[in-house]
Formats: sequence, structure tokens, C-alpha cells
Amino acid sequence: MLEDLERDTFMPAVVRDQALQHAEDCAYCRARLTAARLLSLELGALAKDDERLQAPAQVEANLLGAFRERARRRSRVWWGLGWAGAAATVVIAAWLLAEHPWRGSGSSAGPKIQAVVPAGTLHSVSPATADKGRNETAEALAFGKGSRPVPRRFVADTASDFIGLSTSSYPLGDGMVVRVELPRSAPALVGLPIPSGDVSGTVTADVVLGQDGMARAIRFVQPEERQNASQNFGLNRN
Amino acid sequence: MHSELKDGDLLRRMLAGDEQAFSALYRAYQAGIYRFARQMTGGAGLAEEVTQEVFLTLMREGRSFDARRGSLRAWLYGIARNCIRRCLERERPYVGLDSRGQEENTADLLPDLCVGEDGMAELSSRETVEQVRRAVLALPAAYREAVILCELHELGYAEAAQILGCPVGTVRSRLHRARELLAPRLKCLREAPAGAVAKQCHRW
Repeated sequence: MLEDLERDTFMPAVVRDQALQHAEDCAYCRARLTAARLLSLELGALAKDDERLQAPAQVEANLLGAFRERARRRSRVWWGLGWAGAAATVVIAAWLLAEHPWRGSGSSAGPKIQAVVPAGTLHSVSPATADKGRNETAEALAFGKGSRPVPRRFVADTASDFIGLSTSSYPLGDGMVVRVELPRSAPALVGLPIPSGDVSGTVTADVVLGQDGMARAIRFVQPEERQNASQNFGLNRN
Repeated sequence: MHSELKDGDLLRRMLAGDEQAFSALYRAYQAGIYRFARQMTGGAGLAEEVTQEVFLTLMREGRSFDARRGSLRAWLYGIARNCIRRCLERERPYVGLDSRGQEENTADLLPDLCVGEDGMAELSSRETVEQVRRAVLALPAAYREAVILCELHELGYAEAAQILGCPVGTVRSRLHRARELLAPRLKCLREAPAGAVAKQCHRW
């Protein structure tokens, strides 16, 4: 209460008046209030005397120097990060251009269709028929015997027999054979080894599509330019 | 409110590397920080060191300031207070043996010091100020910082509580206790002759 009175702290007017009235009547409290006011005057004199105090100019100069140095360091760090980012971008772009398997395949990232041939009278193909069809050629499975002439390129360069892919009960009917380029890992999907010598990143395959659009069979094709090489897909034909 | 908006804007610009903004913040607060440090430590050298450290901290950790938790001034004073405490701890080994144990019991020594001679001369204003300064400096640190913030810097209880990291009630009670300690000392000094005063103040 004494400090509040002396400091003019906000208080209800009634309380203040009562306190001041009490101080008038009570010698002890009056003396305390007087002493408190005197103390405040003395502290006020000290505060006024210290008002002129300021940190020396050298402190500001030191701090501004530190601020500039810090700004320079930050700037160097950001430049370094910028250059590192640009270098990383260039390296990644170069790798994508040089190593990515999709390079040169146009804008599409999917299988690249090389040719489409009507299948004629196709026979149904199922996984079960894949084994016994080991000696059957592309004509037998995909084009049917006695049907229209088969393009030469679809005949001589097979690296594997047709392997059945689905057991659809839908009749094969007039499907078609599509020659496509697939990722190198595609043979693994039907249990064949991935060609180790191939570096182009793709393999060529003939896919038999039924009328329902489902892939019924696939065979892998050894491109003409590779036929003379000793490498094949590791798929020895008997 | 305007000051807080201005401070926030200056702080953002400073953190973005604007030297003018840093300079403006420094000029706004350096005097208060320096005075606080000097009144707490009693030494110009320590006060400079504290002021420099406060603004270096502002540069380094300005991003950690949260305006929702208090004003920038309170935040800077809080940093200053921590620096001052470290400085005082560091300097403590070099305090003379006479100073030991004075913190809580200085008032008890006063009756002996006040054994008076008649013919008390009125102290000049300058002398009075220096006596008050020494009396404040002789207070225990917790009371000293309360009286410096609330009486000399005229901060409100709430802001002082933010700086000191304690409830408002604690600030009020520390201030009350500080004044209780100061009043008899200064009364004694007012009544003592100048020579005796100098001797007493040396002990403080």
C-alpha cells in the first residue's frame, strides 16, 4: 500500500483517500510515507543523473563491424549454396540425358510400338500351351497357318517362343500382334533372365493382343543387328 | 503498440541484413541496457561488455524473439540480466573479504555505522546521488534489479516481471523489501557527517 501510494499506482480513489487520511491521523504511518517519498525523491535524483549515460561510441562501431562481417559471411554461404545447387542441377540433368533408359524414345515413357500386324486366325494361347509350343513359330501361334503372309521381320528374329500371359476365357478371335520395345527387366516378369549384354536399356518383344485388348502371349525378339553377335538374351532355342 | 510494430518491422529488416535497421534498434535500446548494466554492476567496463553481448545476441538469435511473450525491450533486458548475472558470478572471486555476507545483513550493520557526530552537514546533490547509487549497488542482486527496473527505469510491474521471469507479486514483494533495506541506509547517510559517510560507503 505504501509503495502504491507513493508511486501513484492506479488504485480506487476511495481507497487512496482513506489511506492518505489514515496517514494524516497516524504518526507512524505518516513517518513511513514521508520516508518513502524521500526515498523516491532520492532514487529519482539518481535516475535523472543516470539519464545521460550511454554506451560509448566504440561499442556501436564494434557491433556494426560485427553486423557487416556477419552479413558478408551469410552472403558467402548463400552464394556457396547457390553454386552448389546449380552444379547439382547440371549433374542431374547430364545424368538424365546420358543414362536414363527413356532417352531417345520420344516423349512417351511407356513401351514403344514398332509395328502392328493383324493376327489373322489366331489360336488361343495359354500358359499351358507355351511349353508345348516350343517348336511353333510366330506364324503358328500368332498368325495361324495358311493365313496372310507374315512380314519377314516378324519371322526370323525370335529369341524365344511365345509364352502365354493370361487365361482369359474370351475367344482370341481376330487379335493382333504388336511389336514393342520394353524395359530390359521385362523378361523377368515371365521368368526369363534379363539380358546381360544389352546396354540400350530396352528389349524388343511381340505381344499377342486379343479382341478384348488383353495381352495373351509374348515372345522376345532378337533384333537383326544383334543376331550376328554371339550374345542373345540367354534364351537358347532348341 | 506503435513502438511494438516499429520494433517488429525493424527486427525483420535487421534479420534480412539491413544495417540501418540494426542501428536503429541499437540506438533505441542501448542507453537503457547500458544504464541497467552499469547500475547493476557498478562498472563501466562490465556495462559495455554486457551491452555488446546483448546486441550480439540480438544479431545471432533475433529470430527466437516472440512478440506474443513480451516486448522487444523486455526481451533485451532479459538477455542483459542473464549477462549481468554471468559477469557478477565471474567477478565474485575478486570481491574483497569485507563484502562477504553483506547482502542480507547490511541493514543490520547500519546502527553501528550511524553512531553519529553532531553538526551533520547537508550533503550536496551530487554527493546524495552517489550515496544512493552505492546504497542501491549494495543491495542483494534480486532486490537491486527490482528497484533498478521499477524505480530507476520506471518500468511497470508486469514488464519487470517479464524481464525477471517471475510473477508480478514477486516483483512487488522484492521492491518492497528493497525499499525497506534502502530507507534506513539512506536515512543514516543523511544524518551522518560527510567523512563518516565516505567511510561507510567504502564498506558497501
